[in-house]
Parts: sequence; structure tokens; C-alpha cells
Amino acid sequence: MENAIEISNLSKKYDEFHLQNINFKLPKGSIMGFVGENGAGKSTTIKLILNLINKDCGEVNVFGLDNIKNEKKIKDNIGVVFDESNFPDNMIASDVNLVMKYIYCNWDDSIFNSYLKKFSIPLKKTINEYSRGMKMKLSLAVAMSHHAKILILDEATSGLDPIVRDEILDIFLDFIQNEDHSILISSHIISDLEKIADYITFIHNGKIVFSEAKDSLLYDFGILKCSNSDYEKLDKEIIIGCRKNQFGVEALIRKSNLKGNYIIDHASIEDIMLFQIKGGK
Amino acid sequence: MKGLLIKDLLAMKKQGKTIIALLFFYIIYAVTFKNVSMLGMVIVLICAMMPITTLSYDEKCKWDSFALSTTVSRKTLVLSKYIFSIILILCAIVIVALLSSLMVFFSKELEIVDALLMSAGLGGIALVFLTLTLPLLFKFGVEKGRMLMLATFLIPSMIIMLFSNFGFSLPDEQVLRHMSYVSPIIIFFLIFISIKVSIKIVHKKEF
Repeated sequence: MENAIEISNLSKKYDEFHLQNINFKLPKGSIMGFVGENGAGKSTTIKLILNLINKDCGEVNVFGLDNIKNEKKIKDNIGVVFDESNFPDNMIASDVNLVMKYIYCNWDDSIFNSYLKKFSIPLKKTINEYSRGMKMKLSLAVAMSHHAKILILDEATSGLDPIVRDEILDIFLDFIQNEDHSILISSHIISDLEKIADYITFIHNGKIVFSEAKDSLLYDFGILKCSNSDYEKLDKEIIIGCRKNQFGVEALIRKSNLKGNYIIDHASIEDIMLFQIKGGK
Repeated sequence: MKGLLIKDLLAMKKQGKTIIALLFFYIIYAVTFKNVSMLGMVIVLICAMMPITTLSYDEKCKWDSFALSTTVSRKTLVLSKYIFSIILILCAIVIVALLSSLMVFFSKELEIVDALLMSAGLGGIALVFLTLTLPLLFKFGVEKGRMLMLATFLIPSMIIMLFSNFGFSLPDEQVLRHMSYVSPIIIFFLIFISIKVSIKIVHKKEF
């Protein structure tokens, strides 16, 4: 399968933060959820993909091309949404159209206007009168009106109410109907990603913990529930993280590692994340 | 490039009314007190400050990182600011030249040639100011840049004052006149250097 984005051994060091050896692949035609706490390195990685900051080492390929050597060509095919609207706030929607028309060579007025209509974005209001949801929708309309093949979204759904978020997720699912399209979406609202993502990449403290297909994650991982005494008998090697309370132990495991008869519950992506970060052994 | 220039123009829209009101006020002032140079200075000052205002808008909405995520290159980002500023200053020179020669024609306050020279001179000062401030603003951002900008104004004038205090006489009119002939070349050169420096700064900058 061809990859839309391929990152290998990407590193970037700051005084207090080190993004180390990032590796993951976003296959064409799929949605990747990029999850992690605040400050885990999601935005830094995205900025490195977009060449907004300089990498220390490693490689980023988009459509199989180096992201720095072929920057312009790549960016003509990427739509980007950050966590806020990036237009001067005294502009109105038609101003945005006018500006973007001269920035992307594939800009399509009619698509943009149809999105404005679809998202019911007010045409006469200036951006500073928009609600947060409207700003986000405007940014999305901008990102999707130049026939982009990849959407890169950095915290685009955070701070929005569930209904708007759901609408936006539908837009993504619509976008991905075309097999050439792919989405990389970073968020800490994991339930959103669980709904739409095909792959989940989990970053913690500047390192990738896993990058796997969502279905195999949900299938592989489970939460083992047992008493304290049973827990002590287990091989601690297979425990990824656990939580103890007075009634017993809950432990995150890979189901294939556990032999025998145990009660194993379904583990959500959120469980998988929380146990890995906070769970002891 | 065109997109960026349009964006700057549109971002200025809000200030249009204030500027027109201000101009109106100074035109009345100039007519009643028969003093064009004040009007000229205000117009040039407004035009020279505009790029700073648009930069502060850009900063507020993080336009730069968005623009660079699109097809805009770092070089274009820098060049567009220079072109925008130079166009504004040239507009200012033309407006001041027209207004002042019109007024001088009636008031006979100055010779028309002198009025034209004055407008060109003011424009030249604005351009020199620009070559110093834009690299500072790109490097330090608008907030810190603003402070440093004041310094770029203050330090040269303080040095000149110190010099005159210590008995160095200012160059006489003849020398100044000669200098004014070469000044366009000097300004060109300064703009060129300034653009080079700004591009270098922005290339290293992390957004």
C-alpha cells in the first residue's frame, strides 16, 4: 500500500523537550488519529511535517517526496487546519476567498462557496464575530477547497461542542470517500478518533508508544480483571499497566500473551493510553 | 505574493476610516496654519507604520505559520512585506507631493520644487526607517520589535546631538545637497541589504 505520509527517525531537541526517533506511516486512503497528552509532541511533529520548524535529523516523505526538497509541490496538495482561525479577524468570508485564490493554484471558488453554504457560515459577519465552531468550519472550508489530497489537522476539534464535532467528523468521513485522500488528525479527544480513525499513533514524552491499526489495537488489547492474589501469580512481563483498588486489580495486557481462563474486558483506546501512561505494575 | 498583498490591504480596512479622519484633520490644520510639512510628516508616518500594524495582526492570528503551511515560501513572506511597505510609502510620497504642491501653489509658503523635494525627502526617511525596522520586527516579533524600533530612532539622533555638543559642526548645506543626490542609491542599497538580512532571519525562525 502506498503511503501518504512516511516519517522515519525524526528528531528535534529543545532545551526541555526532546522529540525522539519518530517513525510512522499514514497509508493512502486512511485516517490516522495522532494522540497524546498536551505537550507530548503532537504539534511539534506536525510542524516538522510542514517544515515550519527545522528538524535535527530524520526524514519526512509526503506522497513519496521529501518534504523540504519538494515543499511547494507537496503543500499545494495539503490542507491544513490549526486549532484556531488564522485570518485577520476583521476579514469576512469573501475576503478569505479572495486571498486564498492567489495562494493555492488549484483554489476552487465554487467548492469554497458551497462549503460556506453547507456549514452555514455567515457571509457578512467578520471573523471576530464568529463562534469558535464557525471559525473551525471556515478553516476546514479553506483546507478543503483546493483539491487537497491530505488533510492535516492539529487539535481542530478541541473546544467544540459535541454536535459541531460530530458534524466535522462527518465531513472527514465524506472527504475520505475518495481513495486518494488521507487525513492526519491530532487530538486529545480520543472518543472522536475512535469513531473515525483507521490507525492510531500514540505519542508520549516525545516518543511514539505505538502506531497501529485501530481495529488490531482494539482486538489485541484487553483489560484483565482479577483479585490481588491472582494478580501476584501472573508473569509481570505481560502486564503493560495496572490499577489496583480494594476489590482487585485491573491490568492492561495483550490478549495473545495471556494463557488460561481469565475475565478480560474490552479496552478502549483511552484505556490503552491511560494504562500505558499512568498505570504501575 | 498577490494573495499576501491582498491580505494586508484587507487587514488594513478597519483602519481606513480612522486614517481618513486623521488626514482630514491635518489637511484643515495645514490650510489654516499654512504649514504643509506637518501634514506631509503625518501621512508618511501613517504609511510607514502600516506594515507594523499588519505584522501585529499577523502575529495575533498566527497568520505566518498558516501561510507557510500553504504554498507560501519564507522568502515570499518576507518580500511581500517589503513590497507592501514600499508601495505604501511611494503612495504617501505621491499624495504628499500632490497635496503640498497644491497648497503651496495657493499659499506661496514654499517654492513648489522645495515642496516636492520635501515629500521625496520624507519618503526617503520612511524607507530608511523601514530597512531598519523590518528585520528587527521579523527577528523579535512586534512587541519587542516596537521597543527596539524606538531605539533605532533615538540612538542616531542622540549620537548627532552628542557630536554637536562636543563641538563637531554639522556638515554644511553644500555637503548635504551632494549627499541628497546619492541618497537614492544609498536607499536602494539599504533596502537590498535589509531584505537579505530579513530573509536570513526568517529562514532560521521556527514557527
